[in-house]
Amino acid sequence: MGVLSFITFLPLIGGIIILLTPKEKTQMVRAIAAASSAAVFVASLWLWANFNTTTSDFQFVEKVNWISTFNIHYFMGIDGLSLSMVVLTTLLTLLSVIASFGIENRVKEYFFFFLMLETAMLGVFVALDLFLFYVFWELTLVPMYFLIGIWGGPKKEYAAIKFFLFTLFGSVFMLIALLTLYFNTNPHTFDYLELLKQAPTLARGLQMWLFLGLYLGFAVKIPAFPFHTWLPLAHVEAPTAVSVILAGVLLKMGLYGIMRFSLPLLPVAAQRLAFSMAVIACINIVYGAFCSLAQTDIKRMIAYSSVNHMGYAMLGVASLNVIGFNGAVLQMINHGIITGALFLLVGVIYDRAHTRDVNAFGGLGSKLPVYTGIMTLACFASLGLPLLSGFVSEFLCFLGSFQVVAYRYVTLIALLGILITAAFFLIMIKKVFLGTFNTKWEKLTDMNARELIATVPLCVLMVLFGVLPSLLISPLNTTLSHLVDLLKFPQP
Amino acid sequence: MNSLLLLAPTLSLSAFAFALFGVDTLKGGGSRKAGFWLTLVALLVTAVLVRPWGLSTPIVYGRGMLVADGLSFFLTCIALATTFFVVLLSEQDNSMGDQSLAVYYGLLLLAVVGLIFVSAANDFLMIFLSIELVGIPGFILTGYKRHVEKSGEGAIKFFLIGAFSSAMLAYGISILYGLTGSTSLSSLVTGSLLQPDKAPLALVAIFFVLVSFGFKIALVPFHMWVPDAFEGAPTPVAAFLSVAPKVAGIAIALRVFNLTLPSAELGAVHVLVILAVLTMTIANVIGLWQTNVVRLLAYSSIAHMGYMLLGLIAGGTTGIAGVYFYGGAYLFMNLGAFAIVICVANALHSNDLSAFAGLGKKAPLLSALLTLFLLSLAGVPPTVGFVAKFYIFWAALSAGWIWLVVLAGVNSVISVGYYFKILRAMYFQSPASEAPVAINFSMRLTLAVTSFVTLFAGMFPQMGFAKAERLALRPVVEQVVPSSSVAVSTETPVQP
Repeated sequence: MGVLSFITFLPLIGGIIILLTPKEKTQMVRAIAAASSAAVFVASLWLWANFNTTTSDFQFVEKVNWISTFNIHYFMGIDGLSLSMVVLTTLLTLLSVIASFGIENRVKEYFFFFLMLETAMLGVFVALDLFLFYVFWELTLVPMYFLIGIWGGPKKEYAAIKFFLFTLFGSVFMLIALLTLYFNTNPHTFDYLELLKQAPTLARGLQMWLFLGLYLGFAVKIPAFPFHTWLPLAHVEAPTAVSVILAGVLLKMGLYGIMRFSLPLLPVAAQRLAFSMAVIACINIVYGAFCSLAQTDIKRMIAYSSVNHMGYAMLGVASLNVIGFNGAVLQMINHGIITGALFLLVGVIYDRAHTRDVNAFGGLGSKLPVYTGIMTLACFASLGLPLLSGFVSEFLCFLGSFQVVAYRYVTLIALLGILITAAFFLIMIKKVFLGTFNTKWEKLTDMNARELIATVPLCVLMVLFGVLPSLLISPLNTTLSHLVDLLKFPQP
Repeated sequence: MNSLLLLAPTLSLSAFAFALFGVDTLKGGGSRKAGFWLTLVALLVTAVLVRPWGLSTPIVYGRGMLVADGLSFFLTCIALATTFFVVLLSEQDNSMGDQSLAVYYGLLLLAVVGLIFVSAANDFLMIFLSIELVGIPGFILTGYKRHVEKSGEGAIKFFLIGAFSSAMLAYGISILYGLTGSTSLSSLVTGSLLQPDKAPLALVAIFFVLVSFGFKIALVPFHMWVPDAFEGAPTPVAAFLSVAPKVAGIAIALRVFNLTLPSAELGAVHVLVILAVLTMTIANVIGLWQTNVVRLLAYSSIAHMGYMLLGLIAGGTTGIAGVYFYGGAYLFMNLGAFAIVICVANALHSNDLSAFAGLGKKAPLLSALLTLFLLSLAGVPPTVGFVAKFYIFWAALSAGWIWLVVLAGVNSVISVGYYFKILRAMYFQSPASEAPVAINFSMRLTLAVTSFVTLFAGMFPQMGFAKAERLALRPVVEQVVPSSSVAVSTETPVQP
């Protein structure tokens, strides 16, 4: 068994051990969960340390025959793009597990589902056989359904099933597109590397249909307008740590899928449809920002800001050039870090005050100085203040898309989004932390050690990647330039 | 090859069935256990007698009435496995009170004899007779809860519809006999049906056969009896009915339609397509409104037949292998789900959704297993339901039915809507009653086997795929040509 299988299935093994632990020993369950997610995180850091950044080839490859009737392999491997997503996943899962220690209800099941989710997410990012990819993709749904549905807020049941149905609906079209792709290759195959040689030569009309089928599956996850309506609901109802994973990792699966599969496999269709993607991205940015502006529930506001931020990343992807791609992947990582932190922070205040209404607070700055500082930092990072990580990635996304002549106007409109983003974050900060202190919150306490452990690493990363974005760009750049090269396939 | 050897499984089952009828008179009231063990012995003996005969070359026996080939072997195995689980479930079910079950088991075995015959039938008369042999024990079993009104209602509905559809079948057969001068399936391949002057009448005949087959496997719009029969019948019988008549229907479909699929020119494929569309869509949509779990599973079984039709429509080795694999997968996941429904009904005396409320807290293992079965029925990986759907979709796509596959895909999303109603009740609601849910040994065995197959074959389906393909390798069209050296009877002239 290779290192990738080890990393992928280690969380699941931890989850099974948790299932075998007696129900009463909640502390032990938590310890096992933390230990296994920490082990996975360390293993992923080992991957990063041993990763060769000079090549765009897949590394740590594992390939075993799985279902020979369909020529399906158990095929895993990573390049820079997958590596960054894997590390993001393991980091956020570890922090979320720590942040979930406060869960008191059905602890065993909670951590089991959480670790199962981690296995599924890692599988999505390392799978190189499209069938395997699809299996992991679907597998993320089940634990998520339970995590939202059991431990969520008042409308949890509706949120859970809506999430499940939306994604499954998209995946069905994805599955059919994958099967069609399979039938149009000779010999029939789901092998990514093999498809990379064959699929780009397919006729344009077929490529367009395949692209649309895959896009439906991915767009629901991004979430791209108009398939985003499950997101605010799921985010608001989900428990804090699950929101972190949802925003931090699950949303990335959509754009990862587009960058990994849709674009390189179907370059002709990609070039034809890139403009439409840019327009959708622009709608995501502006519409998401306006929606955020209208919210009074902080969590809901951040949920809509995810729609907005994923719009930036999507714009970067749609620009189909190296700068745009770099921007998009950085934006995916930064959004994971920043929004993860924001959700954790909203969870902190909600645990204490049991409300998330911006108008209910006021002047918290003097009462909770540490919390205010961290929250303000995260908000600034999110709205793209220079020297914090959000700025770099948004800047690169816009730079990439502005280079494409046809996108100029779209990019200009999208730039408006930045203004609105700044507006809603600043208004929120003003209402919650500044002004006169609302004496109702006299008894609020500042962040405790567990909450600090979960959030401070993210804040450090925000600053670090803001000052030294090259830390991220260097392992990515080779892979991303290679991906862009694949797009330059000559038109048949 | 001695035809007695080929008939041995059915002979042994029949003998045991009649022995079971006698058990009641011998021992009086206390014979429940004796009947149970005798039935298990019967099934085991029969399983030993079943051999994969005729896989490479079909063997025609019983004066040309029967044929042993991949199809008959596969369906015999399915019928025996289903019955094995149904017997285990019946032992656990206490809704039948302290009625003696020896007769019940005897009838069950007779129905299996019918199933084995129908899967091997090579003649329309044989098909008719064996279908009746499945049907009549079926009616009685459905009404076995004598003191429950709904049970009687279900049995009557089932009986009337069954009689009606048998009449349709007889009518269709009589027309075919008029056209070809023979009731043997072998005579259908000679192509006489395709003569232009006979085509319209042949179409009428095929139509009647198709309608009767539609009733048997409960395709929409011939499905109305299913929910009532399922709800009224003892739940193990419902589990039996969710698989057994479908076996019969699939056997007829594969034999007759793939055989006469010159009927591609008679338009039978289009009729099958329409039936598949209606069956999947309507069953799934109506399923959304059900609050009784057995009725819900009834609609689910109808919808699954719709998916299976995709394999029939696709035809060829892959299509048939798809049907086989799907049939096998469906058996395990469906019976697993039924087993848990019976467990819950035993404890709470209700099949309503509300009985499942909070089951996740009361019986975590049972709920986890039901979750597995429901996910499998909905087609979510890594379960056998997913790979089975994948195979069927693949077969249909390779035959070019892309819109049908899209529709089937959308339908499986709709089906999540009702399967997840049960999950919701189990995990998101708090228990309505604290009555503990007990499981005994036979239930444990059923659940262990069904859940193992559901999960394991979902992750490692290659073995199942290879088996299904091996059985389906010889398209049914060719199977009627017997090799004369092994044919016991040459009474029916067979055209090469």
